[in-house]
Amino acid sequence: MADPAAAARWRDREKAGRRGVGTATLALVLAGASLRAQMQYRANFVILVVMGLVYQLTGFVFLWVILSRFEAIAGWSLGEVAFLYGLRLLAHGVYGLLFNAIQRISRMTRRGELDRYLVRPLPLLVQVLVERVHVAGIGDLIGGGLLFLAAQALVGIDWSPAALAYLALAVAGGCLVEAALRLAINSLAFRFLELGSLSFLVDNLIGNFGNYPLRIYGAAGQFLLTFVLPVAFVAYFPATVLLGRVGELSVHPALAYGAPLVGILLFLLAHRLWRGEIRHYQSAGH
Amino acid sequence: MWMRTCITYRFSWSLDMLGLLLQIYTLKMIWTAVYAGRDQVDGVPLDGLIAQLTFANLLLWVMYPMLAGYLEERVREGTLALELARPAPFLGQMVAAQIGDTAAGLPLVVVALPLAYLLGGLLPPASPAAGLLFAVSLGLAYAIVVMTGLVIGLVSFWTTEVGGVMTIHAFVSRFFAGALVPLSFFPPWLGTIAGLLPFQAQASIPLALYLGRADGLESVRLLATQLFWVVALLGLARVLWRLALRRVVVYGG
Repeated sequence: MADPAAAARWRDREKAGRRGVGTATLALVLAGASLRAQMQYRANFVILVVMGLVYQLTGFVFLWVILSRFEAIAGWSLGEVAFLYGLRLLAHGVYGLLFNAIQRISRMTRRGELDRYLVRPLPLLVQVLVERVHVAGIGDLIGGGLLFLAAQALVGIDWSPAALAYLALAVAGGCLVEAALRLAINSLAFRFLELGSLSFLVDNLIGNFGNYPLRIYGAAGQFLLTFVLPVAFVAYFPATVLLGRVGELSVHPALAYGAPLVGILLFLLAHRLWRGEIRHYQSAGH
Repeated sequence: MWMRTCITYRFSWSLDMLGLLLQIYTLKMIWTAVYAGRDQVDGVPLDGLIAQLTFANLLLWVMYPMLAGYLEERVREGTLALELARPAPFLGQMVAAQIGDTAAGLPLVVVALPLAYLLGGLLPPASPAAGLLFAVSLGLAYAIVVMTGLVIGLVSFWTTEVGGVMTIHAFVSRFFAGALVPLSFFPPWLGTIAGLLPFQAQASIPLALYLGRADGLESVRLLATQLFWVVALLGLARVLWRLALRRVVVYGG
């Protein structure tokens, strides 16, 4: 370190390090770098966002065509179904943006690619999450946002501060439910290596069941989608709360009001599982 | 040979089938809720509707055009040269791979059929003649599906990525083929668009013949529509292929 200026800079950085640059700051810097890296391929970036948007909205066209011919699905009007659909997409968009990289863990484990993260001074999960920001998630967010805005105007919701706060919590909770499911599955990858297909199945289940009023599945279906695969907490329960439809639920309304809390709880549980399973990581070749 | 490659991935096939069955079950639940106790709407009975949608989804699942993905992979990884050097036309090789892929999936239909019947519903053909017309129409529908896949795959010569296009195609084709909402329930303007697209010829037409919804002259018209699309898409694929080949040469310097 012959250059005194460089040495000074080094000392500053050391000091900053000792003061402890927060994990959050580091994570933000890394995520920003990833986003900038992907923006370099501007055309591809735009295509990915637009694709995400088109893909999510085409699913809604199906419901729209049905409801333009029939007035309701299980008593839910077009506006209400769109509200539920939009809410699900918003939660999914936030999930995609923040947590999509969870799905890469099982493949990285199989290939032994996690080693390099283990030697860096940031929690493994955070590193994996910020390394590649999922750009298509932005398309989901825009699509979900547009649909949600239109839907809430259609059903004419009275947005009290409490309702707005609940909405924010519900989106966060829905995103955490999805993240928890993915994290739990990928945690098991340390032991079982190949779980990509299970992850795909859960994807399919949430995408298939999450968008409709769960009443259409009958009591047994509702039970499964609440207590076995907690899809109901992603958007259906919060939507019944905001639309004043908790009366139709076959579970206690408190469960619907508490949906955001369930999201947090499930994520904490999944994270616990992750901490436990991570000890089973063996680099590839063992 | 391709058939064997595909059978090896039995597990992903069975998951794929699970996705199909979930889709069928969801459709049944949605339409049951939409009908809300009515026996029929516009002369379409609920059980007939569910049988039709189940069958359409099964058909499109069996005929899924994997070859778009094969083509893309070859373009992206440059292994195309190998196939080009073989003494058989390249597009023919891709079509052969597709046929092998479909053939590999056929044993699974034996498993999928009863499950689809339980979760959704199925009906026998309206008459032996309807069954025969359906068989002819199904052959043409398969040709249309394969040609569509070929066209999508060829687009990868310009974009190198068709994953997103394929996902959107999977939905758009199902939707306009009438596998989610019967075309008769479309708003008129959307129905007109559907009539101008090749997708209705992939499932809606074979099904109309199967259910005996078309009389003599109408059935001829439907088969002619399918034939038109086979020829038109084949032509489009050939034009794209000629243009694409020029690009391959450019890549090689």
